[in-house]
Amino acid sequence: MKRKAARNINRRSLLASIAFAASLTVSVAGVWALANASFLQGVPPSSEDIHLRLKVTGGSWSISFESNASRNNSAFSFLLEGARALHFSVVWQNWTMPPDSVFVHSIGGDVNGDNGRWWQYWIDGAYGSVGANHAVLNDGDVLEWRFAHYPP
Amino acid sequence: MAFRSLSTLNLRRGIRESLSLHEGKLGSKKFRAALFLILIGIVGRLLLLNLANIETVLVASLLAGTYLGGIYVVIVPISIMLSTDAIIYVARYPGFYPIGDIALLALFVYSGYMMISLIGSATRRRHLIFRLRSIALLTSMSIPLTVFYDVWTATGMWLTITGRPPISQSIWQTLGMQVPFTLLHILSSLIFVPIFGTIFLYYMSHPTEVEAAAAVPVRDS
Repeated sequence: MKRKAARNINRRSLLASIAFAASLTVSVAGVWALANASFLQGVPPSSEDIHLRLKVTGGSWSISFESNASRNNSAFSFLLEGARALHFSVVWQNWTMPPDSVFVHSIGGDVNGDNGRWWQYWIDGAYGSVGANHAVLNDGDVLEWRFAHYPP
Repeated sequence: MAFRSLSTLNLRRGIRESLSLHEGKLGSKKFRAALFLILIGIVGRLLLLNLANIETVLVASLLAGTYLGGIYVVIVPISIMLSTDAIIYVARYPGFYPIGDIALLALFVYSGYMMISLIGSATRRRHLIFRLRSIALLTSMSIPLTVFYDVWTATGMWLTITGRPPISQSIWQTLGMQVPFTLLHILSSLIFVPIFGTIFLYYMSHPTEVEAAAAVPVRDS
């Protein structure tokens, strides 16, 4: 009788453990899917050609670039397009674990932290407050990267 | 009658002595448990530094408040944060934001973890029992506490950085941008609270051989 009761308790504990583990797994998967799907991906490339302008101001140099048919509609991808066209270097760090984001370390040899200056960007004069690959560029936008103190 | 009184007296003294010994051992056990929590907080924070909001400080603070209480409510979160901040800011902080802003933001972060610990302490469970229900309760409790912590620190972020030029966001914009990070933080709690909660509760609720022996009352012969 006692053995049967003990067996019932063991079975109940096992079922409760399985139910807890299952609900935990579902919760983790659900939260992960929600975070990943809705917020954390960078800007997908534009499906249409758009007109964009880029200005990069380094420590003692500046460079301008313009495209009438760009599909690189994020502050980061358009910077890379300019770098490829005008042959200046861009060094960045990927944050592959969410959020899928980038941190630009240096442009044209000017490295973050030199003389307390850092690479920051503006879109049509508005300061960029998200990762550069999350900042959307629309047709006619002017993207500016400046090597400046914070706050600028 | 005299024999019975003497016997009762000795029995009481024996129980008192063994209980005080047990308390002493429990005290040192608490200390060891606090060290364990500090260790998982430090190692977890440093190893997971590149993963936004995936961290072990919250679980360490919650367990310290809920099951250790007393001075550990402050000691555990503050030790973790002070030691890891010393490493992070000396060794690898790039220095983008002014140090004054970071110090002010740190006040929100430190007090946030302390509040988690204090809330855990307020809901403190009197008996340490290693069972599924305790782990499930702890895990459920960690979700609203994670949201609370994130709202608190996002408010701090808004006051020190995002609400001021050049970003100049409204508090609602800052809280809105916090949402994906809070989801990741909830994910972190859902993973780490059951894991470390289970290890911690198992350790705390199982007496060592010395403790078990000390808890046996001494009888007069």
